[in-house]
Amino acid sequence: MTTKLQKNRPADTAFKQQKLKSWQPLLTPKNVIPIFLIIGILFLPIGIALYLSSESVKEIVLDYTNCSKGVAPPVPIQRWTYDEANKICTVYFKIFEVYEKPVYLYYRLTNFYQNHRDYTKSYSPEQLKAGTIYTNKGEIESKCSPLDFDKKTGKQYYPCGLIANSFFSDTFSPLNKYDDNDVSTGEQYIFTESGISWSSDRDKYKNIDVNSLTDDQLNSLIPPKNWQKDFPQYKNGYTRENFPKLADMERFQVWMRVAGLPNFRKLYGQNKIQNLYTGLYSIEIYDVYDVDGFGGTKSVIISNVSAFGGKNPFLGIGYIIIGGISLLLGIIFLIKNMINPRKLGDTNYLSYKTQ
Amino acid sequence: MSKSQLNEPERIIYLNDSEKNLLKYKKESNYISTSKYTIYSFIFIFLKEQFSKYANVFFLFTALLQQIPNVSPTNRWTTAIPLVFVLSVTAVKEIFEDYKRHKTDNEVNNRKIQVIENNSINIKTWNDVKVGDIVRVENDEYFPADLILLSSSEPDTLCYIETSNLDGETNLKIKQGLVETSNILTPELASQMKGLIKSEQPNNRLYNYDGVIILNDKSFPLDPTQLLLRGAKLKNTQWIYGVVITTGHNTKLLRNSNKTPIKKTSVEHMTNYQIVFLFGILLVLSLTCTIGYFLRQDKSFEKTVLHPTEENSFSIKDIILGFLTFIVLYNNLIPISLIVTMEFVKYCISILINNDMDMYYDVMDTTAQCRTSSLVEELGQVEYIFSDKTGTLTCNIMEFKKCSIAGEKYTRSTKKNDGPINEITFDELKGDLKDADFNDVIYQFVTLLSVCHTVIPEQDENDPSVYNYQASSPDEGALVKGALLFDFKFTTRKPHSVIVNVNGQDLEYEILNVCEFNSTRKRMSTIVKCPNGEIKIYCKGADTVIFERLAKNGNIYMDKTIEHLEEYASEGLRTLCLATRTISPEEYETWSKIFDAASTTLVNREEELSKAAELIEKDLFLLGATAIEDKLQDGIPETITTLSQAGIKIWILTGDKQETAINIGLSCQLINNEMELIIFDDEVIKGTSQGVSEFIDSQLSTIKQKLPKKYAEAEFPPKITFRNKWIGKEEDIRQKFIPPTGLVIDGKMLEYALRDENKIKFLELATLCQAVICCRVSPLQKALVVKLVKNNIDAITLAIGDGANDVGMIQAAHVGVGINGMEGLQAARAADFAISQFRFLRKLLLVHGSWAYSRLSKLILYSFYKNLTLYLTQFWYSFNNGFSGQTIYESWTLTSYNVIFTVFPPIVMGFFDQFLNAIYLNKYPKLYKEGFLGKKFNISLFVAWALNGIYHSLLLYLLIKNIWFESQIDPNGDIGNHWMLGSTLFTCVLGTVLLKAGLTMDKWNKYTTLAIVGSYACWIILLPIYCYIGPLINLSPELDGMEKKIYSSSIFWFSVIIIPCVCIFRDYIWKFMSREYFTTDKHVIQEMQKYIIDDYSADQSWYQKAVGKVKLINHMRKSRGFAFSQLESGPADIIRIYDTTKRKPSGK
Repeated sequence: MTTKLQKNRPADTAFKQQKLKSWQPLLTPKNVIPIFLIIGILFLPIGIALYLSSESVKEIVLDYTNCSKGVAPPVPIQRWTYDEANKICTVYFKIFEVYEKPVYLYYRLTNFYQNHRDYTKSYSPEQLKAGTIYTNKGEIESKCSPLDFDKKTGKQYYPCGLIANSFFSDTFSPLNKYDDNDVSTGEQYIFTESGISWSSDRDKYKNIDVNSLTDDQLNSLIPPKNWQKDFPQYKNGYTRENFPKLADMERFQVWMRVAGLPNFRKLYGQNKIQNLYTGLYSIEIYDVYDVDGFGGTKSVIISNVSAFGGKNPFLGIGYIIIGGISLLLGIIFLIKNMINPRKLGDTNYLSYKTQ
Repeated sequence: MSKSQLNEPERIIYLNDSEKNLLKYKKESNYISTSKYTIYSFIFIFLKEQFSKYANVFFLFTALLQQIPNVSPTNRWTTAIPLVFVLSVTAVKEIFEDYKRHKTDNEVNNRKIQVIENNSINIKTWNDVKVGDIVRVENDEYFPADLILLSSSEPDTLCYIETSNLDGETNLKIKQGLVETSNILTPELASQMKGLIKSEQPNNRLYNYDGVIILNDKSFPLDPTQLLLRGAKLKNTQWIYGVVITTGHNTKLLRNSNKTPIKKTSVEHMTNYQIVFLFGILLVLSLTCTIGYFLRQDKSFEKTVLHPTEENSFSIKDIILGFLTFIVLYNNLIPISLIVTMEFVKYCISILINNDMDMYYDVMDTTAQCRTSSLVEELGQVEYIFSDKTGTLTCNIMEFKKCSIAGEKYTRSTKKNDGPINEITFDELKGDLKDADFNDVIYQFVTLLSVCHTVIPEQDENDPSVYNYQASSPDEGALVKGALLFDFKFTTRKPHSVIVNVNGQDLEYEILNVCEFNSTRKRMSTIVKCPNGEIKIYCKGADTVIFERLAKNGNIYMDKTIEHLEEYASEGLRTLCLATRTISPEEYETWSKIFDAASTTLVNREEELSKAAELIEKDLFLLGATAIEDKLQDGIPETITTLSQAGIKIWILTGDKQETAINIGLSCQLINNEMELIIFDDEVIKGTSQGVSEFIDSQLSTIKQKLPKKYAEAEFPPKITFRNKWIGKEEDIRQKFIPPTGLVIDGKMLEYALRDENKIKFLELATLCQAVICCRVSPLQKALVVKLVKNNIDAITLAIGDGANDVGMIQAAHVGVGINGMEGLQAARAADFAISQFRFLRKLLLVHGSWAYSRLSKLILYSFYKNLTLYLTQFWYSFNNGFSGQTIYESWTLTSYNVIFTVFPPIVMGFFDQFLNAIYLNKYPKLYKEGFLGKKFNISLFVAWALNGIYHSLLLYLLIKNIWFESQIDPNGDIGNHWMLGSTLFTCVLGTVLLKAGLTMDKWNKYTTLAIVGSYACWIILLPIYCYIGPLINLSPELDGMEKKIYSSSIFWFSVIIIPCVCIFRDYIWKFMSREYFTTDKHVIQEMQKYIIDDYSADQSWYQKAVGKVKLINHMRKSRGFAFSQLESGPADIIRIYDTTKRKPSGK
């Protein structure tokens, strides 16, 4: 027969005839037991290493939510004092081990839904990045609602929106060291603001050159409501002197980078040059940020990091559990298979034969 | 058709008056269209069809919702763009498929035909042919429309047509025009014809026609003998003239082919339900979140932080908008890519089927053809096969295979070793014949074969020594051709004699009388005057009628012959007994007077003739018997046995007679002689509905006694319970309790059985039988039988056939298969699948069907699972974001999940997965059962996969939440943000679902590996690029700067390793344990395949079959089919007046 006659003959390729070289991964004891054993042997050490590394991270959490209420402080706070007039909460705490540098200062908020949809979308990237001053109310409304402009005066908020408005307004002093007799040594352990935001964040902000603004323009901008309330310098609105330089406010930038979960930490400052040595310390907190309003707590956290990052025992434990279970199962199946193996492909199992 | 035409009982067609005809039939053209769309209607029909799918409507709705400002938590185009993409892909596919239909239509519409206009012949295209045109059709041309035959090149206005397009039969049919029109031999004469034809209204009855032709005020009746149908072909006739009476879609052929119905598979149906179910889940999730959202409005966070200015401005509008937000948020629970992935995969599978070497038929150079790719998975669920006989099971070739002469067995096989030792080959017989005397039994036997028949010889144009035989009964043709083997060449037929060339010498046998065949006589005899002057009667017929008429000394070979007949019958050969007698001239003289008188009586002529024949057909001498093989196609018995082993029930629906049908049933091993046969006997039933009803009742009660109570009293037809949908059907094991039974019913009885009052009973009886044969059924009845099963039993039906008479059932069945052996067959065109040989059905169903079913169910379930897994993490996240509808993932990341990162695993699953390879699926047909019992795609599996998705999503979310703890901190003390959390989780989700894909696939090749590993690699590579480019083009400002952070975080890497491992841990153990401790057939056979374990016992079935065959022959004492498929009231009388020596007119 000539090929001309058989022009429709399908090509006899492995692909078209569905006979591609392939691997049939049957889960039989032969391959399952080794996989369990390997996973066990791999994961257990990783887990232990992760766990140990996490445990090596030193961290102290000071919850100062109730400082102003005159109640006893929670552990590990030694004691606290509250200065009603200046709204200063001083927290005393002990460092028992040396914190190797770098040491970081975080604040932690709970029950704060920075990931709320209405919250996350309420900011104006143009305002922050280009220093846009809106002339169209509709435009700013679409970005920053409900905190776009003041309904009575018609002045626009700068920076506008919910995120900026709720900027964490407590401030933390450097740590003051005390000697064994509770006497201040005068030594201070300082956390700096510079370098705490992502480098990419800094590109998102621009300082408005306040001198280039006309008086009308400056007058059309007002600080967000909470800023007027919590920051003394903004009590009476903006002047050419107190106008915020957003590109330099790294804490603000950190704040603006919304957290994914309702309990979160934010970096406040860092010390890369000194270890934090043992002893009694105090920290003065300008305590104005209202967390009772949303039923949350606020804390200050001093911590260093390991090679794997912050303190996080869960990951290590996870590896240990999975590794352990795998190893155990591997051994059980191995023993079972040695004592009473199932014959593979036993044709006597075929159901129509047993019927 | 206009209203006025409907009211008219008949159509009036004027001869040679095109103006009048045009006025009446202006709208009727011969243009045919089988396409779905035209250029103009495409967009409407296409959109209508697409939006009849729930999923598409839903996505359109979502896309619209996203356009409302502030509603969508994701980018507003994230649904619209994929939807447009998906619809475009489908549209391209539809256009491509319809283009092919347009092309074939055009090819048909532009065929050329000679039309007579004003005394001359014009060449026109088919679509220009109009009602009332007189056309000239040449040999081997198809008729362009339904015609009334006026005249032909043959004597007596005869013409031959081949109707294989219509009914798959390749033997020629004879048509004859009226004497009154026979003189129209030139275009001039045709143009001068005056008169009109009153014709019936267009209808779909292929075998009926009523009309009147009025010429010169005299009317002459027209019947099917004058009707030439579109689809048939002129054969062995140089030309004919005919009048067009119906055109285009009004022709009987096209009336029979309904618009191809759009078939939806059961998997698609269930998928549609599951989509609705998912929509329900979506509503529940959205409602839950809306309620959460609503309840949280009183919470202090919302009051103080979110609404620091106004009083609580919360309103109903917010709730509604919130609800819509959630709908948009969760809309991808319903996988947008599923429908298009499914269509694509099905299309690919269909291409693989088309390219299967095992289904390539090299004789015809044809491959299997998937015409409706959407039905591929249905092939894996077929429970009932309805098969045509002629051309489907048989080749429609009759072969003179064996004969028994004077108690000796002769066989055609050339090799001596081939047959049993006691058989003599035809070649030896041929040698013996050379020396035989005229009165030797063997000589008489062969003479009878070449003389006693109604076959017309046709000298080949190219080679005058070769003769083609035109037989209206293929059996007779086979016998005459059989005689050729012994050099008895039948060369000439004249009205009163036949000439047989024996060993180069012409012998003329004068035919004195013929006693015709009919179904009560079951025999035919010819009285001839032999060249030596002797008068002989040659008689052939069914064994019973011949044996009754043997002379006392004429039965010397009877015992031997009976023995041989039984043997032949058990092999499924059709037998005839041959007998002869020498008649003395005196006896003939007396008898011929009686016969002449009988043949001239006007009343009861047939009866009188029978009586006359009875007088001469006596005291016969038995020469022997012939055995004709109605040649089965290759591999039929094996295929039928295998399909039966697979649990498929096979019914034969044939237009043939009962005897032949049973015969074929035997030879293809559908029935055997140990079977009890329930035959609907006309004599018992007396042809009333009542009679049929009682007969069914009595048979049913007898059978039911053998059934256990549980089954005997069960309701029939079984209700489709929720259980069926939940875990699949229960196997119907009623047949196991009763001895093998076959049911045989003919068309007449079937008509009563299919009446409303009887049909359910009939169906119950039929389903209790292992084999069902319906004979002499009309095309409509074939479709009705299929519908009876389809509508009442929850089972997938498949109809297979090759002729236009099978189109009805092919379209009615869930899956229609056409045999595409011959060119341009109607059935293959109407069918969903076309194959060249019945035996290919085995691979089509057992291998391709099983694969397609298993692949698609995996594809669908997996698609649901992967979307549930991703989108439910959003739901769990809702609990931690104040039910605000915030997405955890960036919008386009989310969209690309369905379109890029998880689109390939389902596709490779659908394309390459093989739970077993072709060899093992073929070897263990029992595995096929899982298909029609619905074990691989049902609600319980859907729920299991859904739960799996829920479990994975919850685990994923909880793990990431705990690992993330309070903002993940990297070794630089930096904290991660919302989007880093999202991207990490996304990576984990992707890892989990890809691992699950790997676990789901039974077979890995380079492409599947590439799809799984590649999808993951693609994400890992694209993420930083996207984080960099996305913000630049303002697509995803939120991701700005993340590329520097995420990969340098070790927590990210440790998370994306362990989280998918934890998630898949359960699935892995589960899969291993079920193989170890709940081992199923599939598991065992997979292991046999992998470790190449031989199963010697599998071959036992062949051994048992061989034993069965021996038993069968021993028990063979029953029906013996006899070979006369000739139609009653056949054209025997037309043929006998035929004279092959006459010259034919040219017609021009």
